[in-house]
Amino acid sequence: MTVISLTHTTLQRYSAPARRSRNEVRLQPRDGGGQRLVAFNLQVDPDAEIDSERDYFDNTVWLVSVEADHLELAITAHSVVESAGEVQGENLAPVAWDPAALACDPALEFALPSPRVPKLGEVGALIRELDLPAHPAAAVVEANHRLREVFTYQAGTTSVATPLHEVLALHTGVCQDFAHVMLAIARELGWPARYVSGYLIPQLSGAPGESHAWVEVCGGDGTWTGYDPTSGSVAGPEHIAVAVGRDYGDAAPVRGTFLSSAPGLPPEVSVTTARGGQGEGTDQ
Amino acid sequence: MAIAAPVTSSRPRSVADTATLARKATEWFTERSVDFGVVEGGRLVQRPIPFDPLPRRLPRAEWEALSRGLRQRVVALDCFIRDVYGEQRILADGFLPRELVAGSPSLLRAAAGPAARSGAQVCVAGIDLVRVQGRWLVLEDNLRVPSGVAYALAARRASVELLPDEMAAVRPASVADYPRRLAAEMTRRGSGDGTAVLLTPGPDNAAYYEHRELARLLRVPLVTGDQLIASHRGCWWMDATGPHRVSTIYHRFSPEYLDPVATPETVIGSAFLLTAWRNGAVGMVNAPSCGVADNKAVFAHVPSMIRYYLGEDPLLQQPPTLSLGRPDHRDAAMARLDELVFKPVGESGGKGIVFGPSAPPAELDALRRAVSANPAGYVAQPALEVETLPCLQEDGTTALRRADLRAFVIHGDDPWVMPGGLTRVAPAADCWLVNSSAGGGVKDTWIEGPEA
Repeated sequence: MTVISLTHTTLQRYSAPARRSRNEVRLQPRDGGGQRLVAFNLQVDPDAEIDSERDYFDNTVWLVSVEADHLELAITAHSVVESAGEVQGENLAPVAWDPAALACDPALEFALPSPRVPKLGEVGALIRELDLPAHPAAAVVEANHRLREVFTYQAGTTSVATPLHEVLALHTGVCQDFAHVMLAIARELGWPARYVSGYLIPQLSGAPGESHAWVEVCGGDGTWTGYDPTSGSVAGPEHIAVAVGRDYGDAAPVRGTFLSSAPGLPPEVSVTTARGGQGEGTDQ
Repeated sequence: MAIAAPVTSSRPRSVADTATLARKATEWFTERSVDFGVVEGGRLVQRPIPFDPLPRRLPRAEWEALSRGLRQRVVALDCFIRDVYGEQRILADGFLPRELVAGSPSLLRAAAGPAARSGAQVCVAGIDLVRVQGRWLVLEDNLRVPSGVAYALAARRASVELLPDEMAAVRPASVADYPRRLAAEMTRRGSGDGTAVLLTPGPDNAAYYEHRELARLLRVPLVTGDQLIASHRGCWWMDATGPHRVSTIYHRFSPEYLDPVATPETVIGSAFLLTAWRNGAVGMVNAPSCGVADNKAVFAHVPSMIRYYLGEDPLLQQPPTLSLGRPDHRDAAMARLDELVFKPVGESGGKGIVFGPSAPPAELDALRRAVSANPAGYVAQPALEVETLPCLQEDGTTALRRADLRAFVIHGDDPWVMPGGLTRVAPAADCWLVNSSAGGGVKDTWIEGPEA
C-alpha cells in the first residue's frame, strides 16, 4: 500500500481579457479498481462557481464557471490516493468473450470505433507488422509489449489534435498516441478497450510526476485490465487512473470555452507527486 | 386510384377562377414572407414556400385511427430514450441490437444524467407518413428538431381567407389549439421561475420563418446562443434590461450543437447549456437526449419498442428497413440498388437520400463507395409508390404530385395529435422527394366530419 499526493496545475493565460469561461475538469482520480481516493480538492483562481457531477462514463467532472474578466485562469487539483501495492503479472491476458454475450453487454460500446479511433485499414497492416499471435488474448498482450519496438516515443511530433492515421503513418508519438494505437489494435482484435488518463508515479520520491495515458481491455468476465503500451508493461500501482472514455476526447483533463477578443495561449501544465499523504516526499 | 374532387365548392370553379386562386395562394405566402430557405448557387436564400391551396382532406374516422397509432408510437419512443440513458433494459434483454445505440452518432453522451432518465423527453414529435395503395405507413420519426408546424398553421390561415365557402361547408377540425398546448408543455418542463425562450441559430437557418412565427404564437422571446448565459445553476437570457432567468428553452437546432464545451466545433450554442439541463436547472424542448430515437437505423426497431415497453401490437405499419451494417442486409440491398431508397442514418431534411429507381449511374456509384466505406451509416427501404394528390398549377389546371403527411404530436401526460398536419408535395411529377429543402410545397390538411 502506497499513499501518493498529487498536485496538477493547469494555467491558462490569455493574450486579451477573457470572460465567461466555462470548463469541464476531469482531474479527480477514480475511487476503486486498485486505488482509493483519500482526499481531493480543487482550487481555482480567480474566484469561480464550482460544482461536480458524474459523466456518461462515471468520471467525476468538476464544472468551473468564471464570469468576470480575467487574464489567467489557474486550476489546481490536489489529490491524495492510496494505491494497492499489488504488482500484476506481466502476461496478464483478458478472459475471452462469448460473442453473443458481448453483443448485449455494455462493454460493447468500447469495442466499436470512436471519434478519435476510427476504423482504419492501416491497423490491420500494423498487426501484420507486429506479427501478433493468432489467439486474440495473446495478441493483445503481445501488442502491448511490442508496440514500442515499432513506434518511437517522441514529444513534439504530434499534438492532441493529430489524427490517428497520421500517428500510424509517422510511427511516432507520445503516450496519448500510443494509447490510441493500442485501442485501435485491441478493437481490431475484437476486444472492448477504453482510454485511461491519469498519472505515472515516479519510483523516486520527489521526482516530478507526469500526466500519462494508457488503456484498459475488458475481458469476458467483466474485468478491466490495464495495459501501458508506452512502457510495454501491464498497468500497475504506479498508474493512478483519473478518467476513462472511448478515447482522449471523452477523458480530456480540462476542456472549455471563454469569450475574448483574442485566442488563448497554450495552457501550461505542471504535475508534482510525492509519496506520503501530506505532500513533500514523506514516505510512509 | 380514384381522386376526390379537390375542393368542395358551393359553385363549380372555372379554370379562370382556379388560376386566380393559385395566384392568390402564392401572394398570400409571399406577402407574409412564409419562407423556407433553399440553396441557390451555393448559398441559402429565403423563398416563400410553394403553397398549394387545394387542401388534403381526410375523414375523421381515418384520422382517429392514425392518431391512436401516432400516440402509441411517441409514448414508446419516449420510453426508449429514457431507457437508453438509464438502465438500458431493452439492450440488455436483446430486444434491440446494442450496437445500433452504442455506435450511433445520435447518442449524445453529454446529455446523460438524471434529466435524461426521468420525465418526458419528447415534447414535439413530427411523424412522417405516406399512403401507399390506401394504406398509411410511417416513414420517419422526427424528434430532434421537428419542424413544419408553422407552415401548417399558415396554410390554415390562408385557407380561411382564400376558401371561406369551402371552410364553412366542410368545417375542418381546428388546429388553433397547437400553440396553447405547446406553451403548457413547455411550462411543465420548465425549471420553475423564469421565462421560456425560443433558441434559433439565426436568420441563416432554412426554417427561420418558423422560429419567428412560433416565438410570436408562444409569446416568448426569440434568442440566439450568444444571448444566453448558462452554468450548472441555470440559464439566463441577456437583453438591454439585463439578465432574465430562463425556465425552458425551445431549441431549434440539433442538440449536438447546443453546448460548445461538449461539442467544440459548434458556434451557435452557449457554453454549459447542456450542463444546466443535465442538472435540472433549465428545461428543454425537446430534451437533447431525443436524437438517439430519430436515428434511421433505430427506426426499424420502433415496432419492437412498442411491444417491449407497452406490451401492445403496433397500430401503424412501416416499410421494412434494411440496416446495411448487417452483411446479409447489405448484400440484399446491393443486389437491387434500383428498387430501394438509401438513407444516411443520422441525417434529416432529405439530406443524402438516394432514390435507386431514378438515380443516375454516377450517383449509384458514389452510393456504393459511401456504403462500403461506412455500411452502418446507411439504411435502405423499398421505393414506395406513394399516393399523388392534385395540385393547382399556375394556369389553373391541376396536376398530380407525390405527397406525404407530417403529423405533429405534443407529448405529455395525455399525448395530443394536432388534427391536421403538414401535407408536403413534390415539386414536379418526376420527383420523389417532398422535403421543403428540395423545393417541395405544402398543403393544408383538413380533418372533416363530426368529432367522435
